[in-house]
Amino acid sequence: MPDSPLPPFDPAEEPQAPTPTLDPDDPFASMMERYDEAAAMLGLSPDSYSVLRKPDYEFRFAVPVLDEHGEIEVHHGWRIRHNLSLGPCLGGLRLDRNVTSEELRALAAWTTWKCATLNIPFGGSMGGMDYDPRGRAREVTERAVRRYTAGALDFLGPDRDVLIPDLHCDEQIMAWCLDTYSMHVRHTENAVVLGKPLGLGGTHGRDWAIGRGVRLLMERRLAEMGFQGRARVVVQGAGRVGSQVLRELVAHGHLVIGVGDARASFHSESGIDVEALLAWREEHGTLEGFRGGDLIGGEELLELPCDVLIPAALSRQLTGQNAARIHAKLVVEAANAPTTKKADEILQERGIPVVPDLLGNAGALLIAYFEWVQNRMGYQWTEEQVEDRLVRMVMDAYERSRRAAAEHKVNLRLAACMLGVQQVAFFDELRGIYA
Amino acid sequence: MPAPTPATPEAAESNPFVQMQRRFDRAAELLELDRGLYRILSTPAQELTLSVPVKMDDGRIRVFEGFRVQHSIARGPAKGGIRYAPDVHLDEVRALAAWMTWKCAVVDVPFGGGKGGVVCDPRRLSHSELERLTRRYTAGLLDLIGPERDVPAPDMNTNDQTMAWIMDTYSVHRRATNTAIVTGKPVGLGGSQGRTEATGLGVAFMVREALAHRGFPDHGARIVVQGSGNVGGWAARFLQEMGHKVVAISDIDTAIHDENGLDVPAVLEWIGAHRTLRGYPGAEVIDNDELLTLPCDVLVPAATENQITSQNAARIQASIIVEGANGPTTAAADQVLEERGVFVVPDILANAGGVTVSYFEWVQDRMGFFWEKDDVFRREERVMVDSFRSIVDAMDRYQASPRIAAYCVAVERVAYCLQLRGIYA
Repeated sequence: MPDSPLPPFDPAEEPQAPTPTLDPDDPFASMMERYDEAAAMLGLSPDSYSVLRKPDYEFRFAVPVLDEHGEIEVHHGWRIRHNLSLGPCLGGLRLDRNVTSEELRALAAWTTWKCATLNIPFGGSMGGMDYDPRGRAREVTERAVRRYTAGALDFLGPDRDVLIPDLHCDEQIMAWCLDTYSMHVRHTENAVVLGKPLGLGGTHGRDWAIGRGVRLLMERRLAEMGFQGRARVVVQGAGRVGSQVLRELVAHGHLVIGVGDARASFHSESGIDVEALLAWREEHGTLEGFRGGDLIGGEELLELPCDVLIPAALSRQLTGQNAARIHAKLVVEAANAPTTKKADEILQERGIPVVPDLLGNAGALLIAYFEWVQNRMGYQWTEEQVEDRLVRMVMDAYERSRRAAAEHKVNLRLAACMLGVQQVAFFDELRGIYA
Repeated sequence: MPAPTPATPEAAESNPFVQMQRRFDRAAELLELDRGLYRILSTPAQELTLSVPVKMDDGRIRVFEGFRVQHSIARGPAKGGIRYAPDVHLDEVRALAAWMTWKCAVVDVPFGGGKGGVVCDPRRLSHSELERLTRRYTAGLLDLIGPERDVPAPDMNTNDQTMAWIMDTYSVHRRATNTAIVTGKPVGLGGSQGRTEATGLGVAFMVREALAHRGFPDHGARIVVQGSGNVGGWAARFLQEMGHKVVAISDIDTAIHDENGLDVPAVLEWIGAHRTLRGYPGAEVIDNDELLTLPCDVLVPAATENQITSQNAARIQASIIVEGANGPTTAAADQVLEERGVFVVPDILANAGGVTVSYFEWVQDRMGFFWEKDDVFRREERVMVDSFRSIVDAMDRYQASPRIAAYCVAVERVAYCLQLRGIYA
């Protein structure tokens, strides 16, 4: 059991949204672009691929909620399953006023590919509600989340569709989902909701899994490039993902020479005191006002000469505008879709290798998978067991992608996509179409 | 209510869903419906869009898109048809599902409203492709449908064979025979006696009640029927049996008129034999516009939507209109007819005989005991007559036309259940 009660709800610390770069006009199509390319490279038959171009199920339902004044609000809830060939679906719960089914559809498909690349037995799904818990009374949020869970109940389950936290969801919200589901099915069912606190079926490693993956991939890739020893690293982002990455790097002897968040960026050739920086951010909610380095602009941060650049914040950070001015030897993507297609091309021309997000932040999905496994067997792994398995699976996905890249003569990003598409199409065809 | 937004007023007048929503809004206003309940009733309770992959006869895979919408389940399981059409879309299915909620509430059967559809052109699918499509669609709906959850029925381009496939697929997955999952099944496979005739019979009952309400004698009324399919044909037959004169009837491209009254069984026999009304001897051929504006006591539009519009409403000579079809009268025409004192029995009541006997089919399936045809007809008569009376009462209560009164009764009944049940997390 944790010593302290759940931490207070802090929107600034919301989980990193697993967002691929989406065109607001047509998110699904823009997400599929890369996979269409992968499918074409693999020579997949249009038949088997056509099944993958649409979500299997798209469920929308009304979520009536009594508001702060006792009036009835009606929100829309969604749960979208993209593909069920590899196993039950796994996907985020996104609470956001502007959520759209197009966006959820794209994210569901994205999760399918990502799970398949990582070889974990899930299809992709995504859900959400046009309700934003920020600024709302906690009891209204509880009613909304419980009614959402009850509404989606027929589609959820540890062997059907599993929820993970996404935008504006915290541990408390996931605990309500778990409780509502468990009450309806009349038994405690941990494995239906992931991202739970330790002690309520949560797993070790949620606070370091992404960081560990990023650091190991970085070291492996640098070694392949003949680089040894301490790397000089720039990290964009100091939130949930960025902080993991920063701590992991420092703990393993690397030098962080640049860090920034949305408000302020810092540079120090002799290395930034990461613990002091994270303590500042914890206290102030932003890096603004921190004094442990030279204040620089956000653009400048990305262009600092360094060994490794790790974007760990938002999407669309390395673009056609700045890719020519990146002075890193290697880019490792910890955020989702930080690099645009245009920037990808420029970096490739300039010979700067990129470890893509599919691998870079694999830790997030793997740790969710491990939580599910531990819940199903009802037995908790030690921190060492979690680490051992995580490292093995991250490096295995990297190796398979690297071999596929060499075989098809494509970059690592496209190779990782191809692995995912191939896996799903293969099992779709093997299982066939049953009425 | 999400309904397609029509670009022009003319398009709005011909969009039955926009029309339906306007009438719902009017009823909500008269009832001073609570804002929260209005929000609930304006939002479909659940809707599923699903991919339906089908192996075609040539071995290729095609992925169809299917829908199922449950507008409201406050009064009981959702009830509503499944249509197969190349142009069916989610907005249409949503609106039709809402329509079913009101219809079931008007006749007070314990169902909510639902509707489903698959985007396909059934004329271009083989029998076995249709079977595989239906089975896969049904399997995809398994988490949503059930005798206590959502009970489909035939609609455009689906029939008793389709319903039998649905019943079989559901039963095989459930590992037990379950006939109450769907209505409109063939007699002998859980189907009900009298279901074929039910809608037409209900229309005939409504003509009878409206005539009595308006002080006409109980026989000898002059009746015009637009349409001679399952609804118009049976209505005409029953009306003649009741002693009225059917002076004109039509099919899709021909209308015939005989001031002394047509021989309805002979007309229907001709259609059965020739697949058209054209060439029927001994009657004057007229056009559709003349048909609708003939001097008569009762006009029964039982063909298709948008027949009585702002263009022809002023020329309608009937004292009573009984809407056998869904949405034959536009809201603009409503106003003209009301001013002219024409008594309109609205579609959600007039053609609700069909869903009433669907309900009876579900009841019989649940108990596993089947009623004789007379018994079904007698029970249908009671439901239809009671409903008619409750609408007449509501006309007084709300000072409203029969149509708005029917919506008031329906919305009131659904809102009552919602309010009593409350909102459970």
